[in-house]
Amino acid sequence: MKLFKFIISRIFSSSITLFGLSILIFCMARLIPGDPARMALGDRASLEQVEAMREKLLLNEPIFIQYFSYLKGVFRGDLGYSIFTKKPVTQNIYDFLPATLELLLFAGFFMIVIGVPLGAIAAKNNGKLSDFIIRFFAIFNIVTPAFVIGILLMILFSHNLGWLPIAGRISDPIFPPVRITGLYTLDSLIMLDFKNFIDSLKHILLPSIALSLAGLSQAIRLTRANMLDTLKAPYTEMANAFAFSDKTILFKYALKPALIPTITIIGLDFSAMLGNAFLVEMVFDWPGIAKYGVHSIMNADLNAIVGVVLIIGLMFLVVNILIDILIALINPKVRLG
Amino acid sequence: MSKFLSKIILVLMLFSTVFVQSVNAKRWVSIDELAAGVIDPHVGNDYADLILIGNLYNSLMWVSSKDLVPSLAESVDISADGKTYTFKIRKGVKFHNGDEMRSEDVLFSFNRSMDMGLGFSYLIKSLVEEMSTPDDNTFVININSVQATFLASMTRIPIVNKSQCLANKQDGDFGENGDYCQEYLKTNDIGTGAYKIVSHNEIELTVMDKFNDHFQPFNPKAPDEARMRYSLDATTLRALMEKGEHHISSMWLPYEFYAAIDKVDGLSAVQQVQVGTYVGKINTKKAPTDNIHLRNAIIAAIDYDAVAKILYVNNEVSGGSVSNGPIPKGMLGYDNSRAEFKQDLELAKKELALSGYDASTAPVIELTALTCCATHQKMAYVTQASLEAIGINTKIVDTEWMDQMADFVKPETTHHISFISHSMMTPDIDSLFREIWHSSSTTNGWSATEWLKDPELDALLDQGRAELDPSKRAKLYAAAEQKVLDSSPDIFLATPNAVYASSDLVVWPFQNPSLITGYIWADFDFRLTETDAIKN
Repeated sequence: MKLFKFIISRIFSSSITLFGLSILIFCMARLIPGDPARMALGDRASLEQVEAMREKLLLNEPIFIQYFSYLKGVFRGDLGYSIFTKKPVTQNIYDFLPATLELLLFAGFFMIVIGVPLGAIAAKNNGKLSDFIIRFFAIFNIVTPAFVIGILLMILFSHNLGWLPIAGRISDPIFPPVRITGLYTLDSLIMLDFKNFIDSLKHILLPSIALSLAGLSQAIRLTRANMLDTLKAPYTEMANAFAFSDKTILFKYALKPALIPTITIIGLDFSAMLGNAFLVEMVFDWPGIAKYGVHSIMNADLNAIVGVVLIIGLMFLVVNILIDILIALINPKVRLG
Repeated sequence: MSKFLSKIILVLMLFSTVFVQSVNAKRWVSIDELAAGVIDPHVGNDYADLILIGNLYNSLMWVSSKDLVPSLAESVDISADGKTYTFKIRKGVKFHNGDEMRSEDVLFSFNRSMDMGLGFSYLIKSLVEEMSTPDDNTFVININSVQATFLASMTRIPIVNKSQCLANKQDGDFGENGDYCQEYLKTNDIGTGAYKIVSHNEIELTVMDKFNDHFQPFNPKAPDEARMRYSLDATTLRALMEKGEHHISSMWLPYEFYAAIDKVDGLSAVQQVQVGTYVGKINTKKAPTDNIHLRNAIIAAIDYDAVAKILYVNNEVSGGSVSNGPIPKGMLGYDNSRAEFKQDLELAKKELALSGYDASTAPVIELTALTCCATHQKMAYVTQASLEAIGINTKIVDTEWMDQMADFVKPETTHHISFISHSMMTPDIDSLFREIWHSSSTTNGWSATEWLKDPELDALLDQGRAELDPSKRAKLYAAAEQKVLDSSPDIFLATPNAVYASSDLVVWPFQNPSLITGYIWADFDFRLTETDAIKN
């Protein structure tokens, strides 16, 4: 019951945050230079055409009228019209969001499944060569931008070695799987199309690894640092004194308590990946919401900019709620407090 | 015997595999342009759109080499007063869904374009008085004033399938026409073009297949499949091209990229000679560049050799060639006796003295350096160095394209000198003059930032537009050209070329001197492209 109340209160506070974000980004988008009507119609459109488009987009109205009109549309599920793609923003988000979600899910998976164990190994082998190698690997990935890593991975694995595809979500002439979730790997598995699954997996590997490395490296460092503390804790010494197995000490007494702060930061890193996704999607020609967002900004596509930021904001809030719930489940003090 | 038989069977199986593969093998090309690609023929007007639309649809008129020729029209008859155009529509032309094209489709297409008021409708909307279809193969259009440019404008109004459009219409603002199938045409096509849409994602990939019932012949090596990708990152593009997964870049990358690609086996830098003009536009309404002698000094001081070096890619390819005036070579009114522009510092100093300005009295001249485009930025630097050589102080202002479009809508807020490459949107010299030097073009923030506003020049251009006799038109545009030159509103930097990185497996139409038109919307004609890129 307490957990349920906790979840409800988080959802409520997140809604207020989202509302505030919508006002902020709505106003900020209108600070971007350029006339959206002119951008929509092209540089050869006549003044009359531009003026007609401005009327259609309510650009001549006061900003609060524009905002309330936009808000009315949001409650109807209409995020406005994208002047860049000439389609509803809602349609664009439906088309492009699954690609980014798939990328983030894979990146998040690598972050946790590789980052945490490597951190644990580094902590267990503190001061040894393996610890040094893992820490060097982590620092390199933290200081190197994700898109640079992406380019390096592409050159090595796609161009030079030819092991993995260079760009895109699927190879020609394979057709995308029937859309169920929009995540190619999942949809092809559901349809038992293993050829498509393998091909989709090959395409997503490099961009998701590039995207995950910064967060993965943070996870390594945090897990290692926290585990070094828990390995020295009195209850771990007690477990050692009682000759518990190394495995039990490592996982039950050292890693589990170390995970609590690590998961909180991993949650924040997951959200930070949303920011890195913009450039990774451009490098790998990945047709996701981030690439759509880049084009929207460059074309002063106001509705698309607001829509993309709101979606990213929503994802950020959802991830944080999920992390809070996870922490509550792991740590009884939080659950019962 | 059984061993022998099994060997025969094995050989036959191998042969059949190869045979099936060769039957399924197809020629293909993959091109790149800036996103997004809009395929609605009466909406799209950017480069990606024009390439797609030019292959998916046909118009009444088109360009072949440098000539305006009938396309979907078999012939056109212009009345004596120049206000009635009677098009004989070609018989037997099929839309991609198998329907036969008729004059009612042409009428519907013109109405669709003008009612929606987007794309290139502005070329005809204010002119058309009445349209009719006396029979299935005749389309008559009456215009309210004589316009020599009208036939060239026909290249920009593609013809769509009326019944297919109305069968796929949704609710909209156009009465019984609903939304004029705008929603449907975001991902489908209803044209007669040499290629038809297979799939379309405007920021990822567009795939088109050859339309075998097209009314015009294909090059024997024309692609069976044509793909357009969007806004590829330079590294990604290079990796794809080196692996044979892509065949041509866009023209928007730095020249250093093309020069580097040219050194890779199997890839080359190629140029598309364009009909247009690359100019440094001088604001004639803002001090000190409102002074004609100062403008003359600026034009004479420019280091045109340095300009040529900026445009250089290799010995065969460059971003442009030296110009001799406003009218591009081969266009109506071109004067091939006029010398090309050269730096003349003595003349520059003389003009500067006549202007009454010197280094201590002349206000600083602002030079726009568009952040999007390395070439424009380099032109700003060359201009700066050239002007400082005669004692004119300058300031380079880094400017976003969107800032320019927003700010350069008044003479007071327009920088003194900005750099733009103009290409012609219709195959008529009027489209270039009107876009740059006619008073009606100002306030869009980019095309007429000279703010020339010369009533005499406007009158010449209006006369040229209304004159149907080609030889008289040529004289009028030659006179207009001289008027422009006398006013010194521009630094004529070059006749531009578009430069691309291309695979040696493909020969594009613009690489063939007998096919090149000089217009990007016509030079990427996949029907005339030769490709040895094969895939299964």
